[in-house]
This record gives sequence, C-alpha cells and structure tokens, in this order.
Amino acid sequence: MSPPVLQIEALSKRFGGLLVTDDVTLDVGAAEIHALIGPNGAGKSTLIGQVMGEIEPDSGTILLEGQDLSRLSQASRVRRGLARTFQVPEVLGEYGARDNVLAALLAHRRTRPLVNPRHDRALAEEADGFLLRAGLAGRGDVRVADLAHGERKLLELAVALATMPRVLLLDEPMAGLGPGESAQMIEVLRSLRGEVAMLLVEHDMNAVFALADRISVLVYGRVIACGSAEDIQRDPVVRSAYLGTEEA
Amino acid sequence: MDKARGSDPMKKSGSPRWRGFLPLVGLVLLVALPFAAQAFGQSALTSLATRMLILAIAASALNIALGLGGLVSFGHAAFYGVGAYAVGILTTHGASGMPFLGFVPGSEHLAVNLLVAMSVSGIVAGLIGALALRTSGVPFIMITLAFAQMLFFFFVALKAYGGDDGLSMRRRNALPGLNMRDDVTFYFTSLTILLAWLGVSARLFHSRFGLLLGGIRQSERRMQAIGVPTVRYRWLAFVLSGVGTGLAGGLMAVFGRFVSPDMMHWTQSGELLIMVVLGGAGTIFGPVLGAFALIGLETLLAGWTEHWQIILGPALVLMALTFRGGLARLGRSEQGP
Amino acid sequence: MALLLEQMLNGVQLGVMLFLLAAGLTLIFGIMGVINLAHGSLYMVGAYAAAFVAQATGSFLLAIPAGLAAAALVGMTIEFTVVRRLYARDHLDQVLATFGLILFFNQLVVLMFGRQPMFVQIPPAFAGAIDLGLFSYPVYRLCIIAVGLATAGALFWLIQRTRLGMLVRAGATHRDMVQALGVDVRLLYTVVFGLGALLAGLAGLMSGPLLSVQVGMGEQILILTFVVVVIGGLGSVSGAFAGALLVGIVDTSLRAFLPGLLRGIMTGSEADALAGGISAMGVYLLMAIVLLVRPKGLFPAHG
Repeated sequence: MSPPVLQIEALSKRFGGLLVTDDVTLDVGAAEIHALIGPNGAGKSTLIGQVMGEIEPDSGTILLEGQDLSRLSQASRVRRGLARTFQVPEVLGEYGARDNVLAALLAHRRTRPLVNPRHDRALAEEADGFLLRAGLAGRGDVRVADLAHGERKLLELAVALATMPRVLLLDEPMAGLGPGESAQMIEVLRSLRGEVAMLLVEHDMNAVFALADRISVLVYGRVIACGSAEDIQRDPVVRSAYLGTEEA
Repeated sequence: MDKARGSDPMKKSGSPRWRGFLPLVGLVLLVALPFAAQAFGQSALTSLATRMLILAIAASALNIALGLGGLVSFGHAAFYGVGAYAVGILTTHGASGMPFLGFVPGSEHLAVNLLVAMSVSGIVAGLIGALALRTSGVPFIMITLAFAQMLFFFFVALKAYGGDDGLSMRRRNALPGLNMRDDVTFYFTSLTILLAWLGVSARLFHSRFGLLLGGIRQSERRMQAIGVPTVRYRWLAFVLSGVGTGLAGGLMAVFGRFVSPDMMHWTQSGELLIMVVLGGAGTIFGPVLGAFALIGLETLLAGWTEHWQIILGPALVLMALTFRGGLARLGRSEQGP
Repeated sequence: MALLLEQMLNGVQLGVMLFLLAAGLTLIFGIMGVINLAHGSLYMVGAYAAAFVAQATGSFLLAIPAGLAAAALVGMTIEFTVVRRLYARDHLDQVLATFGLILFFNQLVVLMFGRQPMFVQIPPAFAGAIDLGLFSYPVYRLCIIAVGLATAGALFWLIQRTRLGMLVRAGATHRDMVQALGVDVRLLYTVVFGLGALLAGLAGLMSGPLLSVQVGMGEQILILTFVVVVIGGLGSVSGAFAGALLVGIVDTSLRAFLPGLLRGIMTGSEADALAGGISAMGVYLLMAIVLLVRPKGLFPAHG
C-alpha cells in the first residue's frame, strides 16, 4: 500500500461530558479512498471538523505528508492540501456555479489588484474545467440558488477540487441524492481515484462498497474496526454494533 | 452573520437596455442642478444637494461593510464624526497657527485634511472592528452601537474642542485655484469626490477581494473551507468602509464649517443604514439613491410638519417589513432575494 | 469607607435598573431571536405614564400600575403588529423596523407631553434617608434595590421552576417540540414580549423620581443595556444580572472616585475634565476588555 498522506493519531475531543472523538487513529493512503462509516452520532462529522481545523481537538495530532498540522489555521491547512465538502451543501447561493469555483481558485492566488477576475478568460476556463470534472459542464452561469440539490453536491466537489487538494474529506456526498444522482456521484468520485486521496464519510453502503479501498467503523467516537470491505462485513463486532442492526 | 440581501453586482439580470443609461442621466441632472437652482432663484437647493452628495459618500462607504460584507454596523456615525473632528481640529490649529499637541501642525488645505480624516477614521475603524468582529450577528450590532456611543461621550467631554457645543471653523478649507466659499464650486467639488469614491467602490466590488467578501457574506463556512481567512477579510472591509465614512464626515465638516458630537449620534448611524437599504444594499448606485431619497423625504416632511418623525418612523417600519431589494433594483426582472 | 459603601449601593441601584432592561432584552433575543431597539421606548412609556398619573392624581401608588400597564400594553401591541412579523427576518430588518418604532414613539411623546422634561416627586412615604450606621442612605434608592432584587429572584424562579419557564427554555431551542405539546407559540411569544415590556416599564417608572423624564431617556439607557448584555453574554439571564451589577458599580465608582484620584496628579480643572471623559467611556472600555478576554461574554448562554 502507498505511504499514508494523511495520518490522524490519538485524536480526542470532549463536548461537555460527551466524548465525541475517543483516541481515534487512522490514516489515508496517497491514492486511497478510505471510507468511514458508523451510526448517526458516532462523531464522523466532528472528526472532519477537527482535521480541517474548524474544531480544536483536546489532544492528538494530524499529519499531512508527515507535516504536523495541529497548530495551523484552517487557511494554512487548505493551502497545504486539505479540502472538504459538507453534508448539507455550503455553497454561495447568490453566485453562479462558475463563480463558486472561481472563489476557490482565487482564495490562494494573487491577482492584479482591482482587476475584475470575472473578466479573466483563462480563469473562467480553468473554473469550467473543474465543473466539467464534477459533471456540471454547461451549468457555470446558473445561479446556485436555482441548482438542484444533487447539482449542489457536485458543485461542492468542484469547489473542493479547485483548491488542488491532496486529501478530500467528503462528508456524506450521497446524502439526499436520488438513485440516478447517487450513481453519477459514485462515477465522479471513481474518476478521481488515484488523483486525490479521500476520506469518505458515508451512510450509503452501496457507495462505500463501490468506492472504498479500506473501511473504518466509528462507534461512539471510537474506531472499532478497520479493514477491507470483506473484513468489515465479516467482523463480528461490527455486525453486532452496526451492520447487524441493518441486516436484521 | 447575517446574510444581507445584497447580491452579486455582476449577476446577469434581465434588465432592459435603457437601464444602463440611468447613471448617465443621473449625472447630467446632477451637473445641471446648481445652474437650474440659480436660474429659479432657489440657491438653497444647491446646499441641500451638497449635503445629499456628502451623505451619499457615507452611505456608499457603509455599503462596503453592509451590502458586500454583510456586516450590520450600527456605529458608522462614529467614523463620520471622527473624520469631521479630524478636519475640525486640524483647521482650528491651522487657523490659529498653534500646532496640535504641540507638534502636529494644523492645516487648512482641503486635500490634506481629508486625507487625515480618512486615515484617522480608518485607524478608529480598525480598532473597533478588531473588537467587534470577535463576535457576529446581534452582539456585533450592539457593540458597534456601543463604541460609537463611547466616542460620542468622548467628544462631549472634550471641552478643549467645544465639547457639547461643537467646534466652529472660521472659513472653509481651501483648494488652490478654487474658491471654496462659493457654494456651487463646493457642490462640484463634492460631486467629484463622490464620483471618485464610487469609482473606487465599483472597482472594489468587482475585484478578487469583492468576490471573496461577497462569498463570505453568503457562507462563511464555505469560504473558510476553501482557505479564506474570513475574519481578516471582514476586518479589511470594515476599515475601508470606515475610511470612506470618515471622508464624508470630513467633507461635511468643511461644508458646514462646524463639527459637533451630534454628528456621531446613534440616530445618524441608523440613518446611514436606512439610506443603504432603501437604495439597495450591495449595489453601486443604490446608496446614492438612498441618500437622496431619505434626505429628500426628510426635507419634504420637515417642511410640512415639525413632527415629521411620526410619519418617517412608521414608514420605516413598513419599508423593513415589505420593501425588498431597494430602489436600485426596481424594474429589474430578476427573482426577489 | 462610608463613601465607598454608599457608592457601592448607588452602583447596585443603577445595576438593578439595568438588569430589569437587560433581562427583558436578553429573554426576547434568546427566545424569539429578535433584537429589539425599541426596548428603551418601553422604558420611556413606563416612565411617562407613571409621571403623568402621578402629576394628575398626586399619588405615586396609582402611578405604579399605570406605568406597568402602559408599558406591557404598548409592548404587546407592538409585538402583535410589528415584531411578530420580524421573527423570520434577518437582523438588519429587525434593526430598521425597531429603529422606526423608536422615532415614532419619541415623536409621539413630544406631541403629547412636549419637549420639556417632567419631574416626579419622590413619594412622601419613601422620602428621607435611613441611618445605616456608617452613613445614611435615601430610602427611595433602597426601595429600588429591594424591588429590583426581588424581581430578579422572581424571574429566576419563573424561569427555573414554572411551566411557563419550561416552555420559555424549551421554546428557545425546540420550537417544534413546544408546538407539538399543543402550546400556542405565538401566544407564548406575545406573553414573553409583554413580560419584557413590563420589566422595562417597571425600571422606567422607578427612574422617574430620580432622573428627569424626557424624550431620548430610553435610548441612553438602551445602549448601556447593550453593554450589559454583551458583557454578561447575550441570551443569558444570569449573565445579564452579573453584567448589570458590574456595569452599575463600575460606572458609579468611576464617576465618584476618578476626579479625586486624578486631582492627586494634575490640576483640578484638568483632572475634572479628564475624569469626566474617562468615566463616561469607562463601561465601554470594560466591554472592550471583556471582548478581548471572553468574546462570548462572561456567562454565555450555551456551553
């Protein structure tokens, strides 16, 4: 297996009396899709928040390509190669789809001051390239408020890709998608395999089995199992704690 | 933070063609106004229009924070007043020949004094912004209001510069080659400054900074997730906004040859907010329309009854409850916000 | 020592007045999510109604229910007509609409009572001072402190122990759940708003004999109330209580002691001018310090 690009080591976070992240250690290989599954309230989103630097962990370290990110701001983490999507899409509703991507392109780029970046043809083409990758070709001028839910999920992906990440943290990309949209999302994610590593938080087991190289199971803030899809399906602890309830 | 109802100024709206000419029509009217006023023997109208122009600068400056940045500041009168006092104090020392604090020479030069007004207001906005932006939403509104009130009390207590009574200047600041005592000359000076400010403002709206700031207004989480240090951007917007408001305050001080703490009364902050919303938050020309409309309305009502606020108050309530988007967006065929 | 204690009592007296306003403001925000700039107008309404009845009848006893009723009625009326439509709006609309209400009420008061301030006599039963050993202290001010503390106690009991309080606490976070319980949320909101107005009116009517009753009195204390709420933590009633006492005591002490302290190091007139300036700004600087250390206030409502 390729050496890990993202390493989470002994991460813990307590909210009041509740231990939401309990000594979590996991890693994501350079070209890997590592799925993180677990019941609601297992602390999956909180984990993403801590990796991105939105939430400060109580203890533990986060390494990106061997570099310690723990003390860095969210902006520096993004610059070093982390990007995320949200379960409920966080997009700029008044802007068009292209401008959403443009914002991500411009976030870490200097432009000539007081020159309108929306008139920059090269930038627009670059942005359209990311829309194309995410399956949104030709939708650049549509106001985001007028996009369908599935398209917004794809747009989030395009925006995340535009920051040129090494690791993508995907918070339930399939949430709320219809069957056709899910298939499209799986296809888009599959096309990115090898290009960018992914930590895929997901409830949709079809998507997980279709995409994941490895699966970790998070229950009550703890990783209770980690392995291939087959390992996880066979693991008795997982079956009783998580899968068992679904298969019963 | 609030998602103010400003919108992307570059958005393609299904506007009829003639809309593009409206600013030009407005400009022609503004240029003709003092001559028409003289021809009809209504030279007081020129003074009224000068006040409108100056307040339009302030409203347009507030719009950077409010319309573009989504920052509901109820304390912009502070920057307006600080700019005015900067000019007032410099002018007083310039006239008396005694340096300020013993070493800062006074000045009666308009350009110098306005630059100082902008700098001082920017510094004050930087300090207040750094504190207020540690919060957001309702506390932000309360804190900006409270700090403006603090400065109000500071200048009331500043007896050396008139305290409660304010500070009068003997003559208007001068610009070489122009007779500033002439109201028409001053009108055109104010108009030029307004146009210059609008030019800067438009470039800002359509720059990288403007695009990212507008993004922060719509979703702070999204912008953080793509690596934008959102608080720093907001702070910069707040400071720029304070600089422009200080410019307007300084110009108003020169125009009226008078400064008093009343310029930073909390109602002044409220009026600036009304101008922006009435005209159209997040648009380039909206705040100008708003300033003209509000001052015009107030003048009309005040000519009719001394108790005009009893009409303006409910009108404001109605505006807040029903009127969306502002004057500048009337006639556009886009969807409401 | 006696002077210090006396000034502390003055500070507490200002503090409880501020608490009566801050509690309503913070409850209304905490539950309905509304910023109500016109809260100071309700204080003014209470003060004017009480002053009017006191002057007309000569009885402060009648003035009390008049002030309370006027403030509560006006409060529920504006909730019913205006504020109710603002719950779902952004804060900017709330600010503009309630700013409009302030203009309206201030001008209405000018129309009805003119611009001259009204003065209210301290009711004879509470005139005079009481000997507290080290110093004597005005009975009326002691009464304000007592009423304020009693109201605070009642308010905490109401929120912690009663069904209304439970609904209030639940309504803030679980609007749907409260609705599912068969509670009329709209009525609940009107009642809470009326309660806030009642507290503001109480502060207003009590202030009458101490300060002049005049147009603009509401906004002056409103802004100070904002400082209290920011210091205490928005949405938290106990934060409002702590913040109010802190602001009351700091403000009073600065005004009382700063000129004396500064006179030790500079000439009298300069010292007075500087002290005046600093003490006018004092509570705002206190707010700045709190923002630096605890941006969410000393007792934040959540977490």
